[in-house]
Amino acid sequence: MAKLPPPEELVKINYSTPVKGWMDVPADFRPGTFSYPGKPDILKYLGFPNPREWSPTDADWKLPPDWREIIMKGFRERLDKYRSFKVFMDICVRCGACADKCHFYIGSGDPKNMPVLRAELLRSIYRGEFTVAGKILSRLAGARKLEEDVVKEWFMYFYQCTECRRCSLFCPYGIDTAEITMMARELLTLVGCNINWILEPAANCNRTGNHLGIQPHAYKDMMDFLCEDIETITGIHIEPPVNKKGAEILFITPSGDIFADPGIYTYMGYIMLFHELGLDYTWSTYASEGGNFGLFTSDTMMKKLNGKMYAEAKRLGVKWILGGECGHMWRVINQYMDTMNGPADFLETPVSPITGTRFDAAAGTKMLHIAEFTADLIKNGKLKLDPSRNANLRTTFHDSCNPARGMGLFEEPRYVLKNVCENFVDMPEETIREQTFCCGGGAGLNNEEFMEMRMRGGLPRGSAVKYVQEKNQVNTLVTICAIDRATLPPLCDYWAPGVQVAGLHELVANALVMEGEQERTMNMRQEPLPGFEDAEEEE
Amino acid sequence: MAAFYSFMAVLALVFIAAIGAGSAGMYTLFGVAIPYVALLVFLAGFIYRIVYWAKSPVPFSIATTGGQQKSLPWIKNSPWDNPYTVTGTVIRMILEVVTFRSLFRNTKIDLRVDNVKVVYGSAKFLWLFALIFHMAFFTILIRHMRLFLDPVPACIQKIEFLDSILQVGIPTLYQTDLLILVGLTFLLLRRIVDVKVNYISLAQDYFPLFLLLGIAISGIYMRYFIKADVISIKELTMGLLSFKPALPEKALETTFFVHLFLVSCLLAYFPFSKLMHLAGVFLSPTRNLPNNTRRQHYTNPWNDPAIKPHSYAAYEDDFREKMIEAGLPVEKEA
Amino acid sequence: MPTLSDLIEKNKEPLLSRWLDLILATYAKETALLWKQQRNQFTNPVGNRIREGIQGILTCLLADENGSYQEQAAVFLDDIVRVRAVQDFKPSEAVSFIYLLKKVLREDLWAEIKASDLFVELLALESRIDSLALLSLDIYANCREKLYAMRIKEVKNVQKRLLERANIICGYSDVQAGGEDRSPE
Ligand code: HEM
Ligand code: SF4
Ligand code: SF4
Repeated sequence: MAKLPPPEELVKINYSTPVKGWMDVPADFRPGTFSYPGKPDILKYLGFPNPREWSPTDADWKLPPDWREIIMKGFRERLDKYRSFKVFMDICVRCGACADKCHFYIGSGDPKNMPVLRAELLRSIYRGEFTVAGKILSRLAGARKLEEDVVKEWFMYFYQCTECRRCSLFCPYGIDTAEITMMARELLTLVGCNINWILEPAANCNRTGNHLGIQPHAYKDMMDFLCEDIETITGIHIEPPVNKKGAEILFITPSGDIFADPGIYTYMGYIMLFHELGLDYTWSTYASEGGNFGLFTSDTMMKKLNGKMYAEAKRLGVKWILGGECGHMWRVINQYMDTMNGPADFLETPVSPITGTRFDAAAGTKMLHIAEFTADLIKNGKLKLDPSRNANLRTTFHDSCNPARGMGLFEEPRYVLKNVCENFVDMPEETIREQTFCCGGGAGLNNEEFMEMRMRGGLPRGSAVKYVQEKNQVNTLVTICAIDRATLPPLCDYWAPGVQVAGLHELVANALVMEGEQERTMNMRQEPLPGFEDAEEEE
Repeated sequence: MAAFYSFMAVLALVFIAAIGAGSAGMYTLFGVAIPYVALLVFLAGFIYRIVYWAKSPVPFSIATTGGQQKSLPWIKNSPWDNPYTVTGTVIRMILEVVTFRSLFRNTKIDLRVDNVKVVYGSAKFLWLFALIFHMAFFTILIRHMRLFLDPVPACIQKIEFLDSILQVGIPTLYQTDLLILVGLTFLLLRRIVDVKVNYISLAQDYFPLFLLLGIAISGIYMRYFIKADVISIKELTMGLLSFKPALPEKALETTFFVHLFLVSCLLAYFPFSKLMHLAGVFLSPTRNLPNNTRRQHYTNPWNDPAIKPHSYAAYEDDFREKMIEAGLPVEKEA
Repeated sequence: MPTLSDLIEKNKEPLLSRWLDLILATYAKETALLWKQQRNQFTNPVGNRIREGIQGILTCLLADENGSYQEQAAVFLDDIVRVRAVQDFKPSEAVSFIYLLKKVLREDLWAEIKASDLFVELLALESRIDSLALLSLDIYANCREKLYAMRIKEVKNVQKRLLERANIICGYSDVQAGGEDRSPE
C-alpha cells in the first residue's frame, strides 16, 4: 500500500519557535500587535524629538544619526535619577516567579512577554554598556550591544506592556517591570519612537483639557445633552455647575466618560448623585481630564498634565477635590501627584459635607476617590437606594490594575456595589483584587489597531468573566475605570459574549431614589427597568 | 551551554586550589593572601555597590500594594500587604526577607475539579526550596562564626545543638548540611529542567549555584569524611582575624584550601553579581516604602518646579469666544 | 471484533495527550511545557481551553455517527479557534490543529487498525474530522470578523455622540418606527 502522507503535511505547521536564544529572535511586526507611531505634528506640538513619518514595518526607522549616543546618555541619566531603575537592573535572579504572571504572556505564549525577559531586553544593554563583565564576556554575561534591532524589539515589547504591575506583586524583590517599561518608553521617545494613541491624547489634554481635544463649548454642550437624557429618565432638570468659582468641591473625572458608551451613564450618575445631595461643587472644562497619559510618556509630561488639577482648584478657590472613577488617574494621584505638584497647602483635608466624615487617607493630596465618598454616604444612610431597579443585573467586579496594585482600593467599590445591586459575585480569587488581570489595554494601548493583541492579553480576564457567566449567570461586569469601560466591552464581546460593562455610579444612579423624580421606568441606558418590560412593548 | 561554562569555571577554580595549595604548596598564598584580598574586595565592592545605588534618589513612592488600603475606619485594611505606616512597612520587609512572602503568593494549591486532585505547580517548590537553601545557608554562616570567635558564644553553641538535634552519625550530622545540598540541587535542576526558566537563565545564574555547591560539598567532605583538624583551622582563622596571620604548625588538608579558595571566590564575586539581591531587596522601592503618599508629602529631590501646566489664562485665550457663547464663566471678558 | 470507536475509547487518554502535545508544539517550547503542566484554568486559560476542547471534540466525534456531532463539536472548536484566531497564526495554521488528530490516530493506532481491518471506519472518521476542519474555518472567520467589527465599533463609538450632537449626522432614535422602507430585494 502506498504510504499515506502525514495529514499535517496538508498545511505547513510551524512546530514551535526555532530553538534559538531570545537574543537571536528579531521582533516581527505583524498588524494587530503594534500601535501606530506618533504623528509628526503631534510630536512637534509636544516638542518631542525626531518628528517624522514612519512605520514599524519599515526597514529604516529614520532614527537620528547619533541615536546610539542619545539612548546611552538617556540611560545614564535615568540610572542617576531612579534608584528603582538601578536596583532592578542589578538584582533580578531570573528565578522566573514573574514569568507566567503577565496577561500578555498567558495569552500569547511569546516568551518575550514574560516580564523577566521584557526587562532583560533592557538589562542586556545595561550589562553590555555599563558593566565591566558585560563588556568583556558579552554574550556569556548576558550582555549585548545596542543595535537598531534592539530599538525595534524595545518598541515592540515595551508597547506590549500595560504597566499593570502584576509581575511586581509576585517578585521576591518587588522588581516592577512597569517601572522598567516606563524607562524604556522614555528612552524610545528620545529617538522619536512612540505611539500616537498616547501622544495625541497627551497633546489634547494639554491644550483642551481632555483626550479628544473637545473644546470647552462642545464639552458643555455634551453635558447639556446628557442632562436632557437625565430629564427623560427621571423627570428632573439639572444644570450642573461648570467652572464655578467659590464652590466647595472640584470634581474631576476622565473625559472619556462624557463622550462614549458606556461611560456616559456613569457620567450621568455623577451628575444625579451630586444634585440629589445638593453638593456645592463644580466641574471644570480646563481640568476636564482625570486620566493622565503623561504617565505613559515621561515624568515631565505627567507632571505637566497633572498640574492642571491643583492649578484649577486654586483658581476656583475650592476646598478639596473629588476624583471620579478611573484607573491610572488614581495611580498618579495616589503615588505621584503630591510629590510632583504638592504640597497642596491651599486646600483642606476632604470632609464630606453630607456626613461630616473627615478623610484622613487623603490628608496630603486633598483628593478623594468617589468610591470612598459614596461608600461613606451609604454607610451613614444618606442615600435612598432602591436596589431592585438593578435586579435584572447579575454583577461581578473587575479590579482595575492601578487602583488595585497602586493604591489598594478593593472594599469601597464592592461595598457600594453590594448596596445598589443585590446580585453580586466575585470572580475567582486569583483573578481579582491585588491579583487582578489587566483588561489588556492599559498604559495607552487601548487603541483599535492593537485589538488583536488586546484580545490576547484579555484572555485571562475573559476566562474569569466567562466562568462566572456560566456558573452564576453574571451579565454585567462593573468597573471603576474609564479605560476599562472602553476596553472591556470588546473583551467581553469576544471572550464572554452577553456580558455588558457598566460603571459603578451608573448602577448607583439606577438605584438612587431622587426627590421629585417621576416614576422610573427605565434605567440609565433607557432600557426598561425590571417590571416595566411589558410597558415598553405596549407603546 | 551557559550551565556547562559555569560548571567548568567552578571546576577550574577547584583545580587551581588543589594544585596551588596541594602539590605546589603555596599555603600562604591560598591560606592568607587570597582570603585577605577576597575579603577586601568583598567589603569594598559591597560598599561601592550600596553607595552606587544609594546615590540615585527614590523620586517617587511606588509601593506595590498587595491588599486593602487604609481609608475609612470601618473598612478592614491589610496592614502588612498595604502598609501605610513605618511599622507596617518594616513588618512587610521582615516577612519578605524571612519568609519570602511575595514568592509565597505563587504558592496556591491548584484544586482540580475534575478528579479532585491537589496539584502543586513548580512555583510552590520554588518558594519551599529557595527558603530551605537560604535558611540553611544562613544557619551555616552563623555556625561558622565559631571559627572567628573565642570563646564561642553560647548562642552559637545553641544553634549548633539545634542543628544537630537528630544526633546521627559521627561527627553528628548537621541538618542544614543536607538541606543546603537539597536546596541547591533543586534550584540547579530547576534551571536546567524547567524549559521556561532554562530559557531565561544566563551563565551568571548557574555560576553561583555551582560555586555554592562546590563550597558545600568540600565543606561536607572535610567534616564527615576526612574529619579535618578544626583546632588548626581555628588557629589560622583567629590569626587572620587578629591581623597576625600565621599558618598552623600542623599542615592543613588540601580540601580545606579548596573550600577556603572557593569561599574567597564567592566573596570576591559577590558584590558584582546578582547575589547582591541580599542588599537590593532592602532598597527596592516597591517594597520598602509605605503607601501613604495621599496622606503626606513625599519629596522628589529633582522635582522641577519650572514644569508648569498649560495655564488657564492661555487656555481661556484660546477658547474665550466659544466659552462666552456657551455661557461658561470667563476671567477676562473679550 | 472491536470497532474503531472502541479502540479510540480504550486509548483515549494517551491519544488526547499526544494530540495536546502536538498542538502545544505550535507554540514556543518554553510556553508549551508551561501550558501543559499548569492546570489552573484562570492562570493558564490557553492550555486549559485546548485540553478541554480536544477532549470534547473527540467525545463528539465518537458519540454520534449521524449528523449532530458537528453542532456539539462547534462549542469545543470555538474554545480553541477563538484563542488561535488572535495569536499570530495564519488562518491555515490556526485551524490546522484539527488535522493533528488524524496524525495521532494513524500513527498511534495503525497496527491495530490494520490488524482488525478498520480502514472503512477510519475513512469515515477522517471525513468527519475534515468536516470539523471546515467548521473551524467558519469559526475562525467569525472571530476575525468580530475583531474587525469591534475595531470599527470602537472608532465609531468615540465619535458617534459628538457627531450627533454637532448635528453633522442625523439620529433616528426619536423617529417613529413604521415608516420602514422596504429593503430592495
Ligand atoms: C535577605 C536576604 C535574601 C533574600 C530575601 C533572598 C531571596 C532569594 C530568593 C527569593 C531567591 C529566588 C530563588 C531562585 O532564584 O531560585 C534567591 C536566589 C538566590 N539567592 Fe538569595 N536571598 C537573600 C540572601 C542571599 C544570600 C546572602 C546569598 C548568599 C550566597 C544568596 C544566594 C542566592 C542564590 C545563589 C540564589 C540563586 C538561586 C538560583 O539561581 O536559582 N541569597 N534569593
Ligand atoms: S520574579 Fe523578580 S527576580 Fe524573579 S525573574 Fe522575575 S523579576 Fe527577576
Ligand atoms: S507590568 Fe503587567 S504587562 Fe507589564 S510585564 Fe508586568 S505583568 Fe506584563
